[in-house]
Amino acid sequence: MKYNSTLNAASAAGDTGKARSGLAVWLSVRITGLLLVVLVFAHFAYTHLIHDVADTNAAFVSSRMRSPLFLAWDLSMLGLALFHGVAGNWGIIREYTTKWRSYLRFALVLLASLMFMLGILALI
Amino acid sequence: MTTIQMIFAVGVAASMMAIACFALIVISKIIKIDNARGVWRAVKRSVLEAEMAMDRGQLAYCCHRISGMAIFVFLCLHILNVGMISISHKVYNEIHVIYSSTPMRILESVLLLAILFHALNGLRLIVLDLFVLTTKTADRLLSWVFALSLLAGLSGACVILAPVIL
Repeated sequence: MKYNSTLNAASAAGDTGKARSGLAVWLSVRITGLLLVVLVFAHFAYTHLIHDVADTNAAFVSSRMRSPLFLAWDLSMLGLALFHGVAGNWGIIREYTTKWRSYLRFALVLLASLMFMLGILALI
Repeated sequence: MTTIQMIFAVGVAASMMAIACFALIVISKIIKIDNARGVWRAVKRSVLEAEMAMDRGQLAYCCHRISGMAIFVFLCLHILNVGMISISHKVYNEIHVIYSSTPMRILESVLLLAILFHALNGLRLIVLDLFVLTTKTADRLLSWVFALSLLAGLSGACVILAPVIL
């Protein structure tokens, strides 16, 4: 288990064997992770290093949202980051809980869906 | 401080405490704090003994989990406060003022460090999944991950903190 990442370790700890969906999740976490490395660092650099955080007010955000590039960038970042976060937390719930598993998973998906909707609302 | 700023500040503080509790759970599962009586002793043991009781792989595993959870919690907070722009620009700006305060700038630097570590260690995990490497090589890669994220994190922190230091 030592050098296995979160999801490998989680599936080794054993949910009832859904090997194929396990592989799909394993692969999509890595692909979204790779995309997020590029998207998130560019986003962080743009809003914290290139522009000072004091200047990123509502006028800055709404002028940014007029550009289709930034819109596509932020939309994909929103979806990918939430998916990556839900997948990670899914494994964490599997590993650390037994009793409240389904409730916690429901709460997690509910939270992520609400965040996604709020994000879309903010972007459009 | 207005009411909405107060709510946001309390939200940030509560999130940080939640992350600290989660970190304690992750560490205690690895080094098996069974006989700890009370939270304080568990904290002391996990801080003092984590370095000794864990091997490098487990250390990376803990850091990856804790940084991942911290980033997820911050992501939710971030979407919540940016989402306020759809209610009114005034509310967004009111919350946004907190972001340029000194404690929040320090928190942003820590967030940068967490993202850097999580990203670089994630890349390391992909490399470990794709190629068969010895434990020694994996450990050496981890040292590079720590060194690079610290270096880039500190440089970033200088830029983020510059307006309040200079």
